[in-house]
Amino acid sequence: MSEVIVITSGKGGVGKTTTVANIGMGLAMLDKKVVVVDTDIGLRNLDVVMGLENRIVYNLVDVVNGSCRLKQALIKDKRTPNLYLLPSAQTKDKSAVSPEQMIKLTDTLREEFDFILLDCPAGIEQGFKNAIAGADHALVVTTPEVSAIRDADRIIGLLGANEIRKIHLIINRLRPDMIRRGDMMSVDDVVDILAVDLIGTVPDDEQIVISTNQGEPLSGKHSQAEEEYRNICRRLLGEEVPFPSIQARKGLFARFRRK
Amino acid sequence: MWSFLTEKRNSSKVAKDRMKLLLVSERMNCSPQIIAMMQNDFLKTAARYFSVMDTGVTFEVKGQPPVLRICIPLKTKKNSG
Repeated sequence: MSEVIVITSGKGGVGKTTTVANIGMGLAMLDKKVVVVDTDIGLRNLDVVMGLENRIVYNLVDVVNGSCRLKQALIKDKRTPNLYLLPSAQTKDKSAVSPEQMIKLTDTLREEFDFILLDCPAGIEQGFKNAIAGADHALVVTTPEVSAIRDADRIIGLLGANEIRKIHLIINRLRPDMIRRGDMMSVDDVVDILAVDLIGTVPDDEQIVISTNQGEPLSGKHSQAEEEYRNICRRLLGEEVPFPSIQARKGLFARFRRK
Repeated sequence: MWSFLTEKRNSSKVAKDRMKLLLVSERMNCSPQIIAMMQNDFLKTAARYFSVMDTGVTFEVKGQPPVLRICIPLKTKKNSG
């Protein structure tokens, strides 16, 4: 059964696109057929993070308008045959796509792919409404900072109001040294505040910048962040994977409960 | 003299306390000031019937639909010294 997952946050710049690229790659490496969709009309990013920016011919708006067939717009990844990208358009017209059109699109994608990952734009307006329209499952990305957490809380409320009940939290850019000093909120703090099941705790990691520079997600050899992205993929597939030891405390394993 | 050290060390605790208060008010769609007034009212009411502790009082709003959960520790002969 296919799953449509929207990756959202409210706040911009917390790592949604990076998360989509890395999880997409990770699931494809676990032999799943995956499509990652950039739903940010006007400011496309997913193509550049994945190193596919030179291969765009058609985009999401072309597909939804019927200007091209879906197959013509899908770009196969450079490194794995299981992974495809549906890029966004550069048009300034944010009303170019509607929630109904997104549902029709995700229904079509379900026929071909095991996982459809939707990279949601920042904010709570039309782009957000489009991205969540066809989703079964939401991954909310936050960092352990006050503005990101506040926005994540708002997003969680909106997801619930839109009948999306399967929600998991990814905490990104954790800095264990700062947490130890009491200068950064911990995983437990953030989970306590947001009260959503945890699925990933990704540390701040230079390798992410390097992999993005090269347009090659999950290409690092000894990256803790990339390791955790792979763990998130395994958890999405139902495996019980313990969270990294810096946060390991009694009862933390129990925090990850599959719905 | 040591207070500046504890202040710096606890910025994460400050952030957490701020977030808990702010998000309660946002989830209930009212301002933090109203929440503070409401907390005071609840405490005063409880204090009319029981001996209540000053510390350890928590107000939380969680879940969909949101549920307000209030914890007010009570003084017993044991903990009131």
